[in-house]
Amino acid sequence: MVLTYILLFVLLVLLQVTVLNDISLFGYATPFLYIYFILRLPSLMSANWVMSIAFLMGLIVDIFSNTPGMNALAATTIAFVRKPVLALVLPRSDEAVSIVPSISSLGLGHFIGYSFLMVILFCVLIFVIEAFTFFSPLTLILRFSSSAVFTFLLVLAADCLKPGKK
Amino acid sequence: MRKLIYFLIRHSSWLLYMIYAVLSFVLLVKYNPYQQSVFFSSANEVAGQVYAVKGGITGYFGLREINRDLQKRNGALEVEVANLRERVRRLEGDSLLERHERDSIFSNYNFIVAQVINNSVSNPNNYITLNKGSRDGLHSEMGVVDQNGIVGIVNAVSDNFAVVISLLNPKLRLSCKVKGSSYFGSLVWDGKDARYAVLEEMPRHVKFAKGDTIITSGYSAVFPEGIMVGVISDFSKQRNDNFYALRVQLSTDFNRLNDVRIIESKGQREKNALEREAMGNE
Repeated sequence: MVLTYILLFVLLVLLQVTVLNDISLFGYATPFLYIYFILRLPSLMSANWVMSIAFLMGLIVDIFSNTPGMNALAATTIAFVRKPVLALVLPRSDEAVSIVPSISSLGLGHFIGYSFLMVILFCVLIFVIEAFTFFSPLTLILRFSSSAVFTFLLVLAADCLKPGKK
Repeated sequence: MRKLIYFLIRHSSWLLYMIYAVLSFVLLVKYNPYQQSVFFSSANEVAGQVYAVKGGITGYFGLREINRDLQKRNGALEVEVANLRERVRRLEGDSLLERHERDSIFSNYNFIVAQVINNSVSNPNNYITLNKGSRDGLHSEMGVVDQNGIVGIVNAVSDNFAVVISLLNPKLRLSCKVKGSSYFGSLVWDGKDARYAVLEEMPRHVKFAKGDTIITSGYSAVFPEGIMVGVISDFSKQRNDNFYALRVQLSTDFNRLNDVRIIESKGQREKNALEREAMGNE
């Protein structure tokens, strides 16, 4: 269990910094698939752990892409709100059981709601932070919306790919 | 006291979030990839190694085009060498002084060849990672060029890797001029298109036309005078009517950077030290 998570962590970070960071579809859309890891952590894991892991992960991605603080801040923030978002999406009765959020455990509709909210929030944060160094509303909105959609689709695709799923 | 501890434990996730947020903010605001913070840049050893592997794979992409560019450049240089040789032959024996001058100009600059192992063009601030570092003689504030033109300026170096501020980064301002005139402006990227940058503060009385060549002015000692930057594609008046802003089509193709040369200018360290001293005296 822990080993799979470590493997997934390394895999997602490497994929992010060597391939996905270089993608800018139509000149705007960059996918941030690595946050899939934060989405995947067990639902009852303590918020402190989730935040620490997210901060570490964001910082590593930042170091590779020369943007210290940007991914770290955004990833920590979505980790911080993960529990409330899950509670919002999840049916009341399921709250006490620890599950690994995925399409098979949450159901397609709930998982879409959960990942969509998280991805949107993450992309808003990333591009608001970017706006402090470079501000151009139109470019920003295009970058934000296209990247959010791209990331969201990749998260869904990754969840379908995930081996070991029933 | 007990209440306080209880309160802190109960709200530990808020507290932890605050700590991480403040840490991130400090990194965001303070980030300036000079020597002391090489760790937080892609010049750190681990990131460098990963990018070296990546560069080993992606380095093969686009070789055909790069080869074609090199052939073109080679042809142009051959013509230039032939012309210069002709001129040197004619001037031979003119005066000792001139020959001495010529020799010293050539011996002022040296090149170090490096490979681009990571590069971005789509971020608001773009950086390039190279596979050479301080062990190969690199240090910050060295100019980087490729076969087509200016690439950027070295910003941070570790033992084996270096981060270059790309010309596609608003933090970099480059002193440039229109070829054939002596007035200069500063070139800066506007964050929109990787093919264009803007040459600002060009005095209104300077004569230029679309298609004119923009070259480095040589005032900063980072780049020698006369390195190709791009061609004028458009121009407009700036806020106050006394200056023009020129839109420059960059000659460097940042989408497929591969092999670059780092310019080692022998007088640069001395010049920088002198300028710093002069500023300190004010």
